[in-house]
Amino acid sequence: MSRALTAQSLSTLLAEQAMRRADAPAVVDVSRSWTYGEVAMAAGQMAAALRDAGVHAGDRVGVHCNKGAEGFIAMHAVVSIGAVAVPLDPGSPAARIGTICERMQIDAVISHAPRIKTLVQVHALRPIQTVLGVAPAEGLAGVTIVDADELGRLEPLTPVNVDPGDSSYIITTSGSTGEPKGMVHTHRSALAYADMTIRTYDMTPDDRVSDIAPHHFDISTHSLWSVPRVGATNVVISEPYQRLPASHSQRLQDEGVTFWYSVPFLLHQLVLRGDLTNRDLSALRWVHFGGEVISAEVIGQMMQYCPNARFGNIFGPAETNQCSLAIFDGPPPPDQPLSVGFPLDHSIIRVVDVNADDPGDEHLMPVGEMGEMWAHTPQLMDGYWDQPELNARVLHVHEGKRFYRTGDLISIDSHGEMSFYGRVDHQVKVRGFRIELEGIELELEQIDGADHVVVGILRTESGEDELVAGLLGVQSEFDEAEFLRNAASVLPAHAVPTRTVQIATASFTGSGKLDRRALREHAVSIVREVAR
Amino acid sequence: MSALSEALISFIQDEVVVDDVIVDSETDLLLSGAVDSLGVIRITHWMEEHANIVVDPGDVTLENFQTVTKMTAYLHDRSSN
Repeated sequence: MSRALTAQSLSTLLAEQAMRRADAPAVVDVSRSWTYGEVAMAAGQMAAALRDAGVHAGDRVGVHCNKGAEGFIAMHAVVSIGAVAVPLDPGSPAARIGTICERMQIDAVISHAPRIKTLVQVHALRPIQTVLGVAPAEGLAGVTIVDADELGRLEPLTPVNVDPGDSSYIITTSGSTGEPKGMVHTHRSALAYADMTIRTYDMTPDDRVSDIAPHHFDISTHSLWSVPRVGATNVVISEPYQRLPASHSQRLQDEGVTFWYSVPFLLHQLVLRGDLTNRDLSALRWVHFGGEVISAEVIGQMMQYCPNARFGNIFGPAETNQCSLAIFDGPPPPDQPLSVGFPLDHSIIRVVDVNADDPGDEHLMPVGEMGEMWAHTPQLMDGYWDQPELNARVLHVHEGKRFYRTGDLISIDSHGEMSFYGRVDHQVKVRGFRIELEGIELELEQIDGADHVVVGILRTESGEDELVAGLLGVQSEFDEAEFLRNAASVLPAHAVPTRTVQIATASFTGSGKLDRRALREHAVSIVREVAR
Repeated sequence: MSALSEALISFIQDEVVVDDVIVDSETDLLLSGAVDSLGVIRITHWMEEHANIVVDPGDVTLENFQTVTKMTAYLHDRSSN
């Protein structure tokens, strides 16, 4: 192999590329491009500012940036001194960010001008000691501030050597209670992920990779770690481009993007409104999606516009980064759930009785039967931040290997291929029938009528459960009766909604997926309002 | 300000924006996050209804939808063609 991947930690990724190929493009945004020499320099200067602010190895540092080069540089600056990067959702309310800062004892935050309003609110709730990357502002009194100009004058700090087992970054998600849960990844688990993707997708320095997902969402680890590991280029698809599919696709064409990876919502929007008949996407060689269920039809449609691309359904919770992959070289069969493929190399998946508390042999389900997925992978997180009891419940060592209890319901057939059925705790019953809301929603989205459909459960006064379809992006000539008739022709009777409501504004989770849980409740509440 | 752009501003302000952004003809609706993907779709539906045109998906771009000024310029272009 021509490229030697030597570093054992994330701390030196940018510096190594800068040494070998200083002029190669690292990040391409609309207004500016950055070479590896430039991002390494900027990260080194930011690292120097962190050191001057008293940040030590192991300390948590918040990164609060919109999509773009600044967040990328900030994440690398933090890990280069052995500190722990905590990406903070730019779409989160200040109260939630304040809670995360409190829980993880974050005293220093790297940010930029567009986020100053939220930062001021956060600081009022839970004081921050140091902010890098913004100008002094009213409301940040008493905070040590190092603005972009000052940063640019600092002598860059050389990355330190870090033990591969040390913490590198923390991804926060909401648990079922809404309390933030922080998944702590190590330098080793992050690099294992980067090297796995480079191997599996045969990435090269010539790849131009769409950089779409926000950094607090695990999909971004590909742009954050894999891209600089191999020396490829990130092409930033910022928030405005994500909202306008025709502009998004234009950017993919103009920048010659070879590798696309994001949530199915954006892929679906590209197919629906991306003006793809007028685009040349022949440079694309991989289209990856993951994070939620997507229909085979959408994949088949996208394939028509990507003549040279292979398609990959990426599966596995953020705790594992990714642990299985289904590759499609032609349209997947439309009448069955999309395959989640086979375990990745070095990943071991065990299908375990849902009532068992360890993945031992006596709890394994027979081949082909549904059970809970327990996963061992080199990409596995170290554990949840400051949650010893939860960690003891979901992380078990079996025959010398750490396994994580995912909460996903899967089966594995005799060829080793996995099928995904939903979450252990998301199954609901309507009139005695076990149903999977997401599966019904997927069927309804195939019917002409609306872009997206959520299905909520309405408990009527008589105690009966009724399904309500909430429609987003409804076509102007929508006919409810026809929609429900069509639904009845593809769904079992107990799964057919009794009525539809139109939802005007979408809610998204912090990671840019449709917030189906909130939208389902919203659909039900609309019916209740009308009934009142 | 034209009647069309006033009507568009009140539609967006009253029915589309997702947070406390105050909309005027120069507000960057997409960068500020005031309008999400479905908001864009609803604006195109409003245009089709009020300007009696069919909005081609290929026209729904930053150049035409970033601000109300750009949207009205687009609508003028379309109706004079």
